[in-house]
Amino acid sequence: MMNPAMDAAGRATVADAKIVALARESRGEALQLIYAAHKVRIYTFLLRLLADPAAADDLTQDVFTKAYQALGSLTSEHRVLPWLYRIATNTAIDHIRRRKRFTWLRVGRLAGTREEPLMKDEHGAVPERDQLRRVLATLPVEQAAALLLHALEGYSYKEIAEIQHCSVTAVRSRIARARQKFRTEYATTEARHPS
Amino acid sequence: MGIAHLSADELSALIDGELRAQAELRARLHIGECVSCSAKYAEGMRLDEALREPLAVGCDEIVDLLSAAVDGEANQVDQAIVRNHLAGCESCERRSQAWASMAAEIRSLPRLTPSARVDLAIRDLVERPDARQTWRVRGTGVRAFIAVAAAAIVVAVGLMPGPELPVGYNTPGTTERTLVAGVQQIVLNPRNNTLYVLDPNGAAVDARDPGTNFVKTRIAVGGRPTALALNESANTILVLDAERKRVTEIDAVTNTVTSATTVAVTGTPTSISVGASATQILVGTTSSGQSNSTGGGALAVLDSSTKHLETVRETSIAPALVVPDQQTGRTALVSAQTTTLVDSSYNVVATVPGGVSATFSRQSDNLAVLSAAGADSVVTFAGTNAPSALSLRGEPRAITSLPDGGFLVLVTTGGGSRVSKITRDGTLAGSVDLAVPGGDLVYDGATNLFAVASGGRVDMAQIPTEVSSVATPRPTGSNPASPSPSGTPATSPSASPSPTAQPSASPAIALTSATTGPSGVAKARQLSADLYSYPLPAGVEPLIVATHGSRLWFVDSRNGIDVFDTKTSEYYGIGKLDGGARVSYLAAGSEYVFAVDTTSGQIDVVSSVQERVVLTYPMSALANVETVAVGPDDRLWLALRNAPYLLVFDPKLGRMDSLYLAGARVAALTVDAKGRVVYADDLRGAVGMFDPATNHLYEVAFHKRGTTTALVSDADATLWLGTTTGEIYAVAGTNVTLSVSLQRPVTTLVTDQRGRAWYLAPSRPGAGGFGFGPADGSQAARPVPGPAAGLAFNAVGWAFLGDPRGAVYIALPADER
Repeated sequence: MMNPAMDAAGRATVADAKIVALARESRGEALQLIYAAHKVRIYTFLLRLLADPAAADDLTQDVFTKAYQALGSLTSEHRVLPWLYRIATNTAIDHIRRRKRFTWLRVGRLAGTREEPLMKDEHGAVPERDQLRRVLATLPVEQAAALLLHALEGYSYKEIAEIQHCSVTAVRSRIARARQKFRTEYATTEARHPS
Repeated sequence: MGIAHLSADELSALIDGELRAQAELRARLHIGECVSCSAKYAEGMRLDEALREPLAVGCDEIVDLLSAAVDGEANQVDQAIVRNHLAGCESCERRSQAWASMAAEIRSLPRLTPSARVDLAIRDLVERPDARQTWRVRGTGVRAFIAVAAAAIVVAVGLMPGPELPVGYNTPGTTERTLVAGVQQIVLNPRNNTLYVLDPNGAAVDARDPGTNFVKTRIAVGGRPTALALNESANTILVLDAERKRVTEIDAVTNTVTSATTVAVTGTPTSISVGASATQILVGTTSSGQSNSTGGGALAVLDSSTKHLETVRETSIAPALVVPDQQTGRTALVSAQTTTLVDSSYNVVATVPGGVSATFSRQSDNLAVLSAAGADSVVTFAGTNAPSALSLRGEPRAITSLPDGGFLVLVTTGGGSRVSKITRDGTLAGSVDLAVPGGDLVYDGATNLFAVASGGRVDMAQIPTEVSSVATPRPTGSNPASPSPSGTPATSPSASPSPTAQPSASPAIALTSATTGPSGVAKARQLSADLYSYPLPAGVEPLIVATHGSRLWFVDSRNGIDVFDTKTSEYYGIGKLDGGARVSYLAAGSEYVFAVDTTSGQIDVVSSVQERVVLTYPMSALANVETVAVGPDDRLWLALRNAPYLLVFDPKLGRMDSLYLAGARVAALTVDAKGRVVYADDLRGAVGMFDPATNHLYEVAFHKRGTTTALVSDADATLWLGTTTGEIYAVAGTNVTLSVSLQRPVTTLVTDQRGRAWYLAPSRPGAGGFGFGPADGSQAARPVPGPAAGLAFNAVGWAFLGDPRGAVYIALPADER
């Protein structure tokens, strides 16, 4: 019996080859295909990094716009999703650096942006998930991105290193630092809310 | 005779088990006999064992390995080190278990999809006709895009042509369309302060600025749209196409169509409304085969988020209009003969006369129905302590409720229309006549203006406060009536028969109300009869000013970006650019404001909706920027010194393109209401216009003294051009006329609330201060005593000028002194 992960990976590779071939004929159609296949993953990734639905929307649009512009450079060697994650990680880092350029005097009204609904899981455990979301958004973006890529996509450290353009040791350290931060954050919260 | 001792290599190979069998036998025999080699061998073995033993590390050092081990990313040695540590460390053991479940916890967070606006942006991106053309600039190279040059033609086209007849009225012989209410042609969305106006023949909805009445965006919806509704909680606009039985939804954030749904009903849809709970969309229909309102009808109920048809409720009348009451949950089904009032379960609770329009009072449970009475109109009230019916001259068109419990009624009279204010006790409080026939009206509480829409055209005026018999076809009103302490409403000189009517409500009162705004700054100071100075908070000194609509944007001396709203006279600090930013140009569009820093070479884009910097775009070529302008589509146009092309920056896509201008060298730039880019080329002596819609470029030769400092296109498509030597020229068609000669440089040219051009310039030498006046020279310059930067007008014609010393000048129109 075929390993389901292998199967998924195998299929993904076939789809990627198709996309690369399609991109040579019609960038538009290729982008539509990529967008339909991966928009949820990229948006969710950015939302977890930023905890801001409006910014996640903006950056999702940026990521696919950049992908569209760079589709021509995609070769059969590339895997599309890691490539998108690489664009998304860089876009998020840029965004956060830009954000630091500005200091706020007044929080503006955010017309028309939506908030992520609080969804209860089967145990009604909203607070922990909320906590998880909050901590994720406070982590340094490189650390959070590495942890998310591992947790959400099951990417190996080597794959994450390729996406983040760094060494495997750096990835190992980023994920560990992120986890440690969670431990500290949880501990602080538990201390504050002993119940 | 002894044998030779084992060499270090031999010893090491022996310890590692790497000697050949014979050599190993010899070596072991030797060790058995040789004390010295035996000791060395034992030492080597001990060392090896020690090396094989997992390294003992502390809790802090184990973190990376532990985390990697949890992820299955540790090698055998690392795993052994971790195992060794965990065996003796309970806290790290617990940590390891918690970490093991973390990935699952993260995975269990919901996966979400981006909003519809992203879907649409991507769709637009791939469907754009120029998708395959590369006329972008990123970093270095600029590629030519277009060079369509035509000789000496300047096109003058009116701003707002449009069919005059409202939908569904006075069109004898039409069948289904006569069923469609003339109302539901205009809605005001308070969330983005935008008027949405139906243009049935243009198959579009115009998003207009209620302050200036300018079209911000034209949203194509296709087909023949017949009715509009606002879903305020979802921030969307719903458009009904009766013929195609289609509901189109417009996202008010992006002003783009997000969905189109066919409503599976048998009859003809007549109206669209958002239900009292906002979770439902109500579409009134006639029953199948019924083409008049004598038979029954139905109410189709759609889920407002999915647009799926939930139920269809048969009604005894064919409703031409469905009016939900958000306060009580009741709904009025209005037909020409009967109006049926139903409760939230759709049980009939009352039956009142029919009509063409109806509205619920905002202060009581009363329902007011506007009906025809012969050639005239009658307003019937129903509910607790309802006043008796009120007759009005003219054919009924629309009625809307006011926050004070009163009503505004629109009727048509001859070729024009009349809007009357009715108090909550059913008496006529005033009326104002308009030169245009009206189809629907909407009230804007923020400005106390109302807007009348008719076939895509919009006219605005102030709420009437006295009965007027004089036709005053003035498109906009006068004074935004602020609540006056005595409780008497402000009179409007424009609606009054006498141009020298009593003084309007003191502007000081309106300005005082602004001091209660969020900024909490001190009250405006009166400088002269018609001039006030509104002090800004300490240190807020408007140095570079840009205006758009009713807002004055500026960069202050502390590198903050601020906005002054001329509608409410409120100041807001938006945020601070970082200390090193040096803004050279500021330009404002309807949703974005651009701060161009030519020193660092970047553009900071502020979203005027979100009121924050949403994008910073770096670009090396910015050092050469000569002038900038923003178009109605919010794209920023930049002219570079000595470059034969323009750059155009799209804030929505964060992307820069270029436009080759057939060799023109641009000194001044403006974009008109139709998105056409108008420029002055001083080097070649020409003014030109590029129309991005047609890709046509027009130029007319134009020689003058001085260099061009300002350009603006007015509502009549006349181009006004100001120079360093103080001349202001009017360019209409191919005619160029000298309008004014100020003998001092023209600082800026802008249009007022009616689209008329005004200049700002320093006063005559020695006089000090600045002056502003109409570009056609029809009035003398109005002086302000100090320096001034930027000029803007609000909906009622008050002028606002930035004072770099830390204030905003407010000048009342001359006729309000």
